[in-house]
Amino acid sequence: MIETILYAEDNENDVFLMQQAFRKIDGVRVLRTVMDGQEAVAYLRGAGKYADRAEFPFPGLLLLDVKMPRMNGFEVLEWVRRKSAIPHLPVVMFTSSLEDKDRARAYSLGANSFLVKPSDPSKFLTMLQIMEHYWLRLNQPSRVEVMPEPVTV
Amino acid sequence: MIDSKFILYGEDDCHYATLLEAIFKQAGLPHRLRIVPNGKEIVAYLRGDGKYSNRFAYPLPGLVLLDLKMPVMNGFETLNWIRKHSANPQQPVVVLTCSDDLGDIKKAYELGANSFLTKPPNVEDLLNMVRTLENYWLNQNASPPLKDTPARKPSSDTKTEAPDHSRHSGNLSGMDDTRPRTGSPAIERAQREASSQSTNP
Repeated sequence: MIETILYAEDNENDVFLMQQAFRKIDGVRVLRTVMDGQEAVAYLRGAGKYADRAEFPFPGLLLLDVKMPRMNGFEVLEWVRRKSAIPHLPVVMFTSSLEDKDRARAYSLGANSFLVKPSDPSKFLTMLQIMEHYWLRLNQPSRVEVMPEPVTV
Repeated sequence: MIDSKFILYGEDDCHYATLLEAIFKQAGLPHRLRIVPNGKEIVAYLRGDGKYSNRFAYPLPGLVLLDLKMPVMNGFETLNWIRKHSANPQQPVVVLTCSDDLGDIKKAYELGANSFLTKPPNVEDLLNMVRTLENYWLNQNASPPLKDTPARKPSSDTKTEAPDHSRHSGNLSGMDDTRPRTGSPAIERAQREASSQSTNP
């Protein structure tokens, strides 16, 4: 079973909250974070330091913020679905956006799911627990992409 | 306004359908599951054909749950229709099937399934799965904005002879169910309980 969630988020407060939450649900070992979209792509490709899959395991779930510098969440999603060797990686958009057009765009680019960050801490925790359980324990991923070859640079 | 907080489930196995209904009933959420016996009926529902043009009685679902092996139109064909021909190609669709065949999983994702679930062999795991599924897709996930399909006359190619399944899956009897199922005594016991529950409201 793949136990890693890769979370791409440029807001340090949000990253901190997520780490705290995963600590509470006893799953801090599963979380890896990157601060922008390009870094997320480098992680997934196993480029540079990310070639070390013991330290940076290939994730079973990619959590994407929408607004990020260098490459935003939609661009990362598009890269995963259209250009990567891992087109079926489960991708969940995780954002505070309530806009219809963001949801429509995310689904039309092939997001598996769209979660709106609750501001209430207990609802936030519940959402993460259910999300972790659903995507890492119940969902069947497409296995061919479990371990892509690391890219040597 | 139309409440889309329910799952539209295409499943031809009446035992399994009854079991899932029992689980939702037990959780106090019977209104959160509607079952139809094949893919063609899902298409008719989503298109708003015939009686389904009444969106107050048949609102659009928050999630479509598909068995893969169904008569008339199977899960893959239904998923493909939703992604390529429906008014709401972004409609969340989860496949729920006995199969854990890698080819089936890959094909489902290639056709655009949001998620793929394998029916667990025992009732306890099934209960757990169904609760998480319901909570995740109906309470946590934010659905895409859905366009309602305009009311339309049923055309000849959409006519189905399906009976009214809006009440409970007792109506599904008479469907072919010759496929082997899990021989788990726990499942069989739960199915017996489920059938007795549905006959004694």
